Amino acid sequence: MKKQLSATLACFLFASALTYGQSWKPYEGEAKGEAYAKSDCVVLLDSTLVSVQPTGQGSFAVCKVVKVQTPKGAVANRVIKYDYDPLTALAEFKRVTVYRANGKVDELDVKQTCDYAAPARAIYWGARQIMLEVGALQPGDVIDYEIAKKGFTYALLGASDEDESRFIPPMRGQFYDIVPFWSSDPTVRKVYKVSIPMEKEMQFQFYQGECASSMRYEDGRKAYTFAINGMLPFTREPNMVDLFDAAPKLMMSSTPNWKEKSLWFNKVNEDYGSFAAYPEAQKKVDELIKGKKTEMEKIAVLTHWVADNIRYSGISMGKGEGFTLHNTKMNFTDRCGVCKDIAGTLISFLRMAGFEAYPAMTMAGSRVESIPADHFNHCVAVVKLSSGTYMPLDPTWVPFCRELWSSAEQQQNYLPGVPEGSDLCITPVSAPENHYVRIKADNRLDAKGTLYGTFTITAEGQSDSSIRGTFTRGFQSQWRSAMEKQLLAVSPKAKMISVDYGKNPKDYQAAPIKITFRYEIPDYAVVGNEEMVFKPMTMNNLYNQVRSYLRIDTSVEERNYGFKDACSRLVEMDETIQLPGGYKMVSADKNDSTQGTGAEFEGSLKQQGNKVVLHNRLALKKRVYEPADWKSYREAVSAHKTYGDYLVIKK
Amino acid sequence: MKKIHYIYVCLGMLLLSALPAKAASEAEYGKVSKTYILNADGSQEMRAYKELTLFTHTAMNGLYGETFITYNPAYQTLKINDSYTRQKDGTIIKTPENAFVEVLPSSATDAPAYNGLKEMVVVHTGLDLGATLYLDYSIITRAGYLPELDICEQTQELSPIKEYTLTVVVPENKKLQYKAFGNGSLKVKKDNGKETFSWTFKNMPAISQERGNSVASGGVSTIMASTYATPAEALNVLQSQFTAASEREVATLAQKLVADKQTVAEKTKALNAYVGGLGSCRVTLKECGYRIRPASEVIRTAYGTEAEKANLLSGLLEAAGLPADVKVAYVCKLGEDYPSLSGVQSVFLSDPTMADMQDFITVLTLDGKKAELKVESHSINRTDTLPGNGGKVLANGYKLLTMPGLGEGFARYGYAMESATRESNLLLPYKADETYTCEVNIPSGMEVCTPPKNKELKTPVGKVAVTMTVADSKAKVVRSLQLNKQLITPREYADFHRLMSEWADANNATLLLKQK
Repeated sequence: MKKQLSATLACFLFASALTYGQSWKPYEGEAKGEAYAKSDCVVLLDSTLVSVQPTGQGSFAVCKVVKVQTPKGAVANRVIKYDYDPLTALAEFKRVTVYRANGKVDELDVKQTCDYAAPARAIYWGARQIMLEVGALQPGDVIDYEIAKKGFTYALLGASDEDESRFIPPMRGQFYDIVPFWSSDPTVRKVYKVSIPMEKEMQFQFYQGECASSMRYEDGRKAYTFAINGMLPFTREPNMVDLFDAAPKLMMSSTPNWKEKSLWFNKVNEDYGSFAAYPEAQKKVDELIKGKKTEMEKIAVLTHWVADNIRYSGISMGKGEGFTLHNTKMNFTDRCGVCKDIAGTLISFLRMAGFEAYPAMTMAGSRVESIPADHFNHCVAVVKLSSGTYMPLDPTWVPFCRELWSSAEQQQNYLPGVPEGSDLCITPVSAPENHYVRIKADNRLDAKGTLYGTFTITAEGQSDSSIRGTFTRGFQSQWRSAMEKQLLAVSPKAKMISVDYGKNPKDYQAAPIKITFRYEIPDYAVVGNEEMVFKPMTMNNLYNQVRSYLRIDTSVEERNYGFKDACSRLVEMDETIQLPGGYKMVSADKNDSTQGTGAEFEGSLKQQGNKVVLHNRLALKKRVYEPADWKSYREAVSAHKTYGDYLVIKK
Repeated sequence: MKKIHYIYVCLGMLLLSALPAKAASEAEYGKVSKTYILNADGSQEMRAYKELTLFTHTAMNGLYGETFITYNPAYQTLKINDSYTRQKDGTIIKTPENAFVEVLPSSATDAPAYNGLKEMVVVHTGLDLGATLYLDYSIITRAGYLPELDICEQTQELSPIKEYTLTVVVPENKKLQYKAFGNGSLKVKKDNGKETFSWTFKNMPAISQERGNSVASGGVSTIMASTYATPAEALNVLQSQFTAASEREVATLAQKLVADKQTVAEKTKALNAYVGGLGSCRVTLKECGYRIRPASEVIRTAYGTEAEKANLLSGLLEAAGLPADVKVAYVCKLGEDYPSLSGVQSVFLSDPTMADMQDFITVLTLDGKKAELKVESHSINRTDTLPGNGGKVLANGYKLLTMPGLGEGFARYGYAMESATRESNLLLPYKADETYTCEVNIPSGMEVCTPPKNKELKTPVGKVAVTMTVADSKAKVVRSLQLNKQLITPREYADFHRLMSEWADANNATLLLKQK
């Protein structure tokens, strides 16, 4: 009996200790609400505590408590993984506990952690993952774990051999963080707390939402806390901007302004000697600029060579990989690298050609805020023109593209690392005319409904790149069949009689792309006894690949968030269809015109003599649109689409 | 003199005919060789060598910038014998140390049991147009890991190969069985207690990029070689590990999963759902040395490879008193006597896709006997009635009605959207047999203006028929497709494409109506 009592007491104390450790327990009750019921799993607590040292090094305690609600949620949580970069960070599981639905508690052995080089393609920097096997779970089980991380995300120069020095950020003494406050799983509570030395100043802003926040003095340090309760999965709109531009997020930085960051970025690469001349590369530069007279000719030839010939495959320079651009010798010898190394090659080339050029950091995909937290994922170059202005160049995004700065990156923030320092910049909108796609078709319909004709497609800028991609990226053996498929998309019975894409369609610098098709499409029209119906061919699935606006859902009436298209674009369709003898169009003539901040459209359709004449001009003015642009964008695209409706002709 | 002139003309024509072929290649392999050695103690060595000249940016940037080599360091050692690039101007760029990067193969993602596997990424540096990359590496396998020497090697690549050599060396006391699908020459010699088999292929064309081209369709040259004596011996490597039915955890789980299920169908569905719901690991049989974990481990860890899940499912079914026959499907038709594990493409209990393909691939039971898979019918005979008041309203009182079924069934494969010409065989997923009948009640006040149709397109590979009739305020559209061949040769392809074009033509499933 005594034994039994002792055992019971021990169990009680153990259970109490466990309960005491379960600070998340109150959240379990909240997770029973309707908002959480249908999810495969619920995050009861997502907590990150950061302690920042005077050097800027951060020690992170990442705690997460996940409740499994369905078999699918159980399988999704059978392993826990965490990414880190071994050059600049260390990560380890401190504890993992599984509270089974049946009351059993399993402490997992964190010594069983797998720590390994992560699967990789294109970037081979030795990124690692830690993974711990949780194994089979049942609905009702709760996983409670803590990961300790030390360091920062990207490496740079200057780490000495001292212990832990690799964890100190390259901009020594500075700390920044970017914290998304959204999740794909409903979260009962999310907390982010950062403690910094009293003497440090930190600026922060919580964007696109609200949270509970505080700054308190704790143990002789400043502690900033940000928390949200009841964080449900973000409701997305089709084609909306990145979640960083719409969902709640916290940005913080101890760096006073972007200029400081710009100066640091300049210095770090200049000190390393990233752009020092290299004799073999100098020879190539001399060869490339020979005979080029203007600065733009020289800039263009160097940008295009680097874009086309330094391929995207990143190998690590070891210590310093991250913000440091590989040096000229390494880049020119390897002929490969990631964006920063491709940009670095161009900067070196420009300098060897006598230009002043520098690297710049940018964020492809979302906005960069005014708080100087390093929200960057891409590196480009800037060159100083004789006018004294800096021109951005992105060799990574313009292989086989007629642009020097990809307009798929228009309205994008960037920070040049120039010697005088720079504030955050933004690339301008590129006019739709710079990316025109024009289809001119001359068709003839016979009395059996067979369509005969030719069309020529021409395009410039990003539209050129899209159409030319068949030739610049595809197998040569597939070129003709790829052309044939453009016609087969119009009708399965289309027969390509000939196609002319010139002698070398890969030569994107020669002129805008131009392709002429000649074809015959039996049974193109639906033939009645004394009438026929058909769609204008140019509006019937022809070259939809370049018409990115067709992939934007115009059924959405209102938008709360901004939306994105691939690029600004001008679409011009001109088609004549000669009707069979005796037929007349009975569909009404059309004439439309819309205008607005997002897009413009003008269209007409009428019968002139024995021909139906269609004209469409759709100007899509931006890449990233505000919600207020939606009305005019939707009106213009919707009006344009109506020209793809069936036409009726009658004897 | 006339004869010499004739020879020159012929040579010139040959050269001319060769030139466009070369110009159309993105790259060209000069020499490719692979050597497999089985030692008397059971250890093995594979040595691979390639020389590849790049002609285009597509080759340089998209296709051949890296070489990926997967191996298991617990049993295998990877040795890079040589790796460099000879640039167009002759400059040699040795592959630097930091261009050899070991990572986890993506197939082993989220699979702690296979976390020890490695993928060596060789990043080929110094590439320019006209450059030739050279790579020579060996994988040495300790005795006891691979049960026998057993290979399945494609002798074609995405670019043409001037000379491909495959050499297999086995101890004289080991009998090597082989199958060669392609036109290579074989030399066999015996020396020093070893027997060496060398296949040489000259001027191998690039693998056709055409859809549906595969080893099974006869479109990819392949060599298989094995020292297993019989299929049963080869498959016993798997069968001896398929012991799920005898594991206590499996029996317990099976009882739990079928406890409230009454019928065979319900029980089967429940067990399949459980196994199907587990995490899937894409590590192949070859990557894990033809080993599988016990079923109890799969249950405990909630994930498994294809073979591991097949083992678990068979064990669960058996424990529930249900039939459970595991089968293996090979990459092509090998014949039932040829022993191979390396040629296995799938391990399964039931797979309708494999059943449809069984005329073109070998399917065996785990004891090495021919498996007859039950083919599920794909035949469609669908009848719909349309009220006729829907459809697309057009100008001047016209209306278009599209019949249901268009774009469904076999049409979903989209063969009509493929090029009208083809140079390789096309292996279809199955032989279609579909009929769609639709009756349309013509609304009062409207009449059909589509003329009656009675169209039949009959070819040696099949037929498409369309009839459209109108009587008593009813229109009837019947569309049917029958294919009588599953493997379409290039010669037959034009007929096939015509059928597909006709079948996909929306006009055959559209009625034009107008107000009276």
